[in-house]
Amino acid sequence: MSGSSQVSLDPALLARIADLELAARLIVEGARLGAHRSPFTGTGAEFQQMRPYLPGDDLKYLDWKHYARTDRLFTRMYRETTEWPVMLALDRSRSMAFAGDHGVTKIQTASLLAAALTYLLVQQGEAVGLVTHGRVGGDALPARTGRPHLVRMLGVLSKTVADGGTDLAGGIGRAAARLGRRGCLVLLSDLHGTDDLHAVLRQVRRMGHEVVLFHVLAPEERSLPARGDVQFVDLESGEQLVASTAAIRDAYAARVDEFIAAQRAFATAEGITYVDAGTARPIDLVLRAFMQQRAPQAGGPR
Amino acid sequence: MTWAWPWAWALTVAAILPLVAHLWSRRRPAAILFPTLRFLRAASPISRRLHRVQAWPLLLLRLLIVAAVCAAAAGPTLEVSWRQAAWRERLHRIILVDVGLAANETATVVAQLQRSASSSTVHGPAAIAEVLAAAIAQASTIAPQVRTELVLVWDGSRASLAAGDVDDVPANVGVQLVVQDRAATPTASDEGTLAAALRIELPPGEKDLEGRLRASAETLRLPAPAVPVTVRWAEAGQLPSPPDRQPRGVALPGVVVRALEDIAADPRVRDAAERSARAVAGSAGGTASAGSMVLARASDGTPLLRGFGDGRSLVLDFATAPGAPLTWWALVSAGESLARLDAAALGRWSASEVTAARRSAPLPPAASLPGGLDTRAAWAVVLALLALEQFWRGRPAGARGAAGSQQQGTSDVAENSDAA
Repeated sequence: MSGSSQVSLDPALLARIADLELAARLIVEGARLGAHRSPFTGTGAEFQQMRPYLPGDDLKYLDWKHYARTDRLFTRMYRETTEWPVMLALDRSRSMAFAGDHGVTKIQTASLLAAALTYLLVQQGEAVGLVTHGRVGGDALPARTGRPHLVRMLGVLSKTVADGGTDLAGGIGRAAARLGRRGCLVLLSDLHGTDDLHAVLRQVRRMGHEVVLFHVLAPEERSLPARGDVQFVDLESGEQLVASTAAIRDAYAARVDEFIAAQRAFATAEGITYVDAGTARPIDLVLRAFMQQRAPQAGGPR
Repeated sequence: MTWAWPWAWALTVAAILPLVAHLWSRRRPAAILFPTLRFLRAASPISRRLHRVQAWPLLLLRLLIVAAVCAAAAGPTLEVSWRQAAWRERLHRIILVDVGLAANETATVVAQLQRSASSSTVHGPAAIAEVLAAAIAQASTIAPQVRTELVLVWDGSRASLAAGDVDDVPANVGVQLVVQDRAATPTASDEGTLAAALRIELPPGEKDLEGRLRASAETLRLPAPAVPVTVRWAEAGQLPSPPDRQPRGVALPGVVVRALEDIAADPRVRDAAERSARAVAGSAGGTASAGSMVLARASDGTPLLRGFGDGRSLVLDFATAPGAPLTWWALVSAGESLARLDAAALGRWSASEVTAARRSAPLPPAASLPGGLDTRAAWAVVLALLALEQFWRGRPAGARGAAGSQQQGTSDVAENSDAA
């Protein structure tokens, strides 16, 4: 993959594209340049390739006919299909309505990312579902394949707005419940406002699900802009706090970095794929980074 | 520093106005919707700078304006040694202008005198004798604080100003005499003649002689003397007795005595006495008394003429016949002598006397500068500060912001160090 030659897509430009499918396609095609393997590839019904047998491979995937012809042991690789559904859990709490200086809200970034993932998965024949979660209301679509489902998914995503309270644990729980026996849970959130997030994610992992965590943060959240005295208003609670950004900037950045590091450390410890999905980062690059991170895991049989 | 109205410093309470204005008008912080306050709250407490005054330079400038207004209202005077010395040198002139002087020249002189003094008071035109006492009293009052000089502008006559009058001026007051010409020179006719001051007491039956005597006196063209002359004749050749004592309060004994001495020494009178003795009707007798003087005697020693002062006039008692030559020459001698004495007594001040009478005004013992001398300068400073304040407010917002941000940066550093 030659990522350096890739012209990244402007997040603000993508956010202005009304057709979410078109935006998702642009993102996916941009991310796919040079890619040879689906990040969600695994064992499944559809044959993908053969490779030399390695000790420990399941003997039921051994290609006996090929062995009879050539006297060499090969293991058959299959593409994972509906047995490995992916459920997108999109955080639509009001904190996701924060827009940085470039004008793209976090919910827009998360929706675009979700649309791109949906497009990618549906194209690969994967079943993908959606749960948008907040304290009040929320949409849920079961994991399905096919283009009609893609259209439905994109429709829901395009209408999703950040107007609810934070209920990450509940949303994750609902998404995990819809996954069934085994699957992949993709969480798109800023991870604000939950103390029991780690417990829930740990529980999901214990259920045997894969977990991918897209941490959506605006640059202004990571580093406070120098605006002098500012009255900060909490998007969710409406609480107000007056502070001098110049005075608290360094301490704030340290706290946020500490928070991000903690999330990343937790993800590493629990085998969760953590992807930094900043709103200022081109979404195709985020997607590609995710695919690169997933590739070693997705290559082998399960 | 000396203040004319120190209570005006109470106006410094007005300094609270800009302070309140700056606290009141501080910029409200911009509101920003933020995803979570969790890290903000943990990072720092509420900024203390928000409770501080905004725009420090402007506030300091405004406080300075209030202080300058208070100082100007309090009437400041900067006390320095050279200024105190100059203040002691300041001269106040009290100018007395005599009546009857030439108006134009006098006005010029008075104007020059006023110009060369830091302050002045003019009395007159009025008779010097009338205003001198008031002027001296005024000078005595002022002299302890201010160098004072009394200037007398008059015609130089002793009648208007005697030497003793100048002696009455206190020692701490300077004196300057300025001699000016009178508006018009008086003529002899205005002053009268000897005949007008002549009182004739003729013996009965000689009434027609008075007319002749007066006519003769008119021909002498002598000025009317200050002391009237009374001529009397002895009845039956006997001189009347003069009073034993001079009346009290008489101011002319000196003049009378000197006139009598002149008459007695006048050879014309002696010669006339000799000629008149032949016409003596009888023996001239009478007694002399204190103050009287025999002015002419006959060759046999008989007194023919005796003179004395009776308190009002110079009395000449004749023992001769009313028409005798002694009468005439005695009148001539008396008139000339009195005129000469008048001229000597009522004459003009000489230049040397005028110069000698002058004395410069001494410096007052201690002259502390009064408050309020620098009030105008203080108000000028106020105006300058107001202009500076207007200029500061009129500056572009960017320039103000740069200064403000510099200050803000400093305060933030201070805050951080405090926090540390």
